[in-house]
Amino acid sequence: MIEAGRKVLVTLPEEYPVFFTQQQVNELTAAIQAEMASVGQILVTKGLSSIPSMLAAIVYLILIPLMVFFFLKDREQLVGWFGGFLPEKKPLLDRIWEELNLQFANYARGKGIEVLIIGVASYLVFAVFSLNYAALLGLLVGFSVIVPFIGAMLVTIPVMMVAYFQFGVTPDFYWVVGAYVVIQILDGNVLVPLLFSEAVNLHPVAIVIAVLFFGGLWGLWGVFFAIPLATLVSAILSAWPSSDSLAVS
Amino acid sequence: MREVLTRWYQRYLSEEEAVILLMLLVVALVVMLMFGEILAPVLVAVILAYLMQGVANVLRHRGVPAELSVALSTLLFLGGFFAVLFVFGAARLAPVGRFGPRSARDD
Repeated sequence: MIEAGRKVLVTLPEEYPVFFTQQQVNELTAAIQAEMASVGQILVTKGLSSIPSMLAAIVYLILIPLMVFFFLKDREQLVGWFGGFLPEKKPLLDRIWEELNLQFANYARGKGIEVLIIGVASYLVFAVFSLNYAALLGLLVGFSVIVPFIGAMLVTIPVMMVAYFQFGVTPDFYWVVGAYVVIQILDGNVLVPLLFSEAVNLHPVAIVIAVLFFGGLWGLWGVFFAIPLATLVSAILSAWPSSDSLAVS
Repeated sequence: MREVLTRWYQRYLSEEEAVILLMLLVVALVVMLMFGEILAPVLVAVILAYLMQGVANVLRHRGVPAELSVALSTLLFLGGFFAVLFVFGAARLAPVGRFGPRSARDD
């Protein structure tokens, strides 16, 4: 990809002598090369200093499956221990828990199916056009649907770039981009209403605020879980007991 | 001022459960903000276990015995986890020349 970019740069003054002089291009390539060298240096030092975090990652890779296994196996025991701190009769907490459970289950199932369908569909499209990195791009596009609004836009950039560097501005490029846009339109207008018809009824503004807020708080993970956390907040707010509602009901 | 606050307080926090819920929320928020990074693997495991519990519930509704459905979903999770790990580990560790895109190899 870098090589292709360099070739484009070198041919620029030949094709458009009005806009680019040879000297400008030479200066630009020299600057880019110097920049690349310093990036390489940073990568090496980062690589060395990231050995402890790699060890931590390996420990996590063993710990997480182990904990998942125990959580699944001894669920009743663990939930019982936690429930022991709460009073026997808790209609309000039970109600909130039930609503959250329903919402989360709907959300998780819907998103899981959506990720699978969009990921496989875009992988197939990319593979048909024999685009480079088809599997990786398909995976990216699949997971991008978890991030509301922004995900689809962000993932468009690498798709466009790979397609451009591989095909240039040719009919192939237009076909790939067109098919990708069709997938996104179908996702937004057919798949999402089908999967989430009854599930999450949050106002779009609420979702945007949740993405900003939780994204600022916990970064990428916050963005991933913005919608479930927003449902949590909305369920608690709507179920909060007030003496007015008690008098009425 | 004081009266307004008292009324507000009585309105929203007069029930035992409301107080418990508030305490739960505050404790959860403090724990998440202070120890969120340390407890990250636990949180990930809880979320994954919750998702796999959903799979187990689906299996049970289809008539699979309860314990078998939990065992099956656990096995499914472990298999999927290590399969993904293996595929991505292989893709990252492999030399670029063999698994890289065709255009990179032809040069």
